Amino acid sequence: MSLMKVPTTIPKLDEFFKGGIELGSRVLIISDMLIDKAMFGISIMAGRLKEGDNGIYFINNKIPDYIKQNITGWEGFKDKVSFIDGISYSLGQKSKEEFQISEKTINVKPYIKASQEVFEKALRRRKAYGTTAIFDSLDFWIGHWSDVERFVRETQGIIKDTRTISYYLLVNIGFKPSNIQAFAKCFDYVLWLKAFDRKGMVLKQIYVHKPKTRFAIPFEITESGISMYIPKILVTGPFHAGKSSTIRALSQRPVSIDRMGTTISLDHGWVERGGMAVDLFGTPGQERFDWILNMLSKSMLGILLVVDSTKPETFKRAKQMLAKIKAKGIPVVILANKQDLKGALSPKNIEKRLGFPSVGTVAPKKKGMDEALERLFDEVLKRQKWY
Amino acid sequence: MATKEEDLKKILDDFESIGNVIGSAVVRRDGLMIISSLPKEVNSKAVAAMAAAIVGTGETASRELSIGELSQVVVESVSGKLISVGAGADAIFTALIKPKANMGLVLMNMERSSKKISVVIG
Repeated sequence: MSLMKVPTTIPKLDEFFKGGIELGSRVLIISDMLIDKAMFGISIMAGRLKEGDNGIYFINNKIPDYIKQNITGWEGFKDKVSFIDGISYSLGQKSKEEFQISEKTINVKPYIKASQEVFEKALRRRKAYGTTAIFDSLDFWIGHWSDVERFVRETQGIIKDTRTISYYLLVNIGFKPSNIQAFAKCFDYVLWLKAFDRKGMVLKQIYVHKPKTRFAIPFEITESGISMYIPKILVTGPFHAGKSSTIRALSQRPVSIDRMGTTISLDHGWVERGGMAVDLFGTPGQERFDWILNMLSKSMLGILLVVDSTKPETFKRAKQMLAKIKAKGIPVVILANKQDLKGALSPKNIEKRLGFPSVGTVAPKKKGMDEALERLFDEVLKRQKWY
Repeated sequence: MATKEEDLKKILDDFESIGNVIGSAVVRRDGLMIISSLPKEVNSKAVAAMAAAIVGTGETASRELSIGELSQVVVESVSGKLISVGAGADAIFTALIKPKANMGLVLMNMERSSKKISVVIG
């Protein structure tokens, strides 16, 4: 009998796994060096604590206080989380935690054995069902993989019995695909956190390696947890179509540089909700500002094309703008704006005329905004090579 | 191993040690933030977009006017100045300084820092 699924609280991933992952699962998280894997683990833990789980955090590379400082609203969860302090003994310090490993980290074999005993004890102590365990990390154990396998195999029973999902963090020190294949054997799921350095900006994605898929989620760790993140979406379209209103309707802290009722430089907005985060860059619509269009369109990952549904004569300009910013291959969603006005063409009609998926919107009333954004996110997700 | 982020952080710290600096940031020419030490209450993502637009506008104007390469853009306001300079082909270095700061000293150090930044970003 398979156990109940629970959400990981990682957006989109739960959708992909049809609700989450099964209780009793063991998840290996391989992380590229540019990503703070502890923050990733903490975010999962924080998300699950809010769902009512217990937590066990095993830590052998930092002092437990570091983790505590980073769990949002930690005070509220004090009684729900046990720390396994795997570092203080090695540093010759006294541990303040309920559980600790009384073995030095450099004696890897006995250390792993001791870790297993303490881990099992901690799981048993957390009598209530539903525990999220974070194992931070396997980094020091990489040379003793058969011991790791034994550890994972032998704790499987108790993990299932206690309805625990355990996440094991491991830094990618340049593994070959064959290495990862071998690591994957003793885990139910393998997620790979990949980092791409693009001219100073680190773009991150979660790549689902087991079960084998090509599914990848761009993400960012923000104050509210792990969000699906797209660094740049361009909001463009002809003059007076409602681009600035769209950004105002979507974002928390919009900034607009406009004079005499028209955007002369750019709009900027930051949207974060429902597990999705995005930077919006709005362009002016008039031809005399086209050089700004070129500048802002660099490295964009998606386009919201805003058009005035009552003015089909401006669609030619919309097409011209797409050509100017070399939008070929980049996902476009059309906002068929001003649907509340008389004579507005239907989104379907506009879709046919312009050849991109269209959503009917009324920007000042925030109608259709979320739908349009979600549509674009899905389009961006569909592209495998999105950066 | 120091990451790029740490290297950039150090360059900003070194620059800010000259004093009278409120904060500084490295942004991409397309308007995305790379790293910022601007005060928390500043909407730094928006500042990144604006700095890119300001420098882009300045460069375009210089070109149109045939007055040579842009050296820096200064936004001078009552309680501070925002100075932006290019840092290689992909980045901009921008600093928010107090009105009483010595401009010569600031500009000299900004030039030095922006060279280092362009090397780090590569």
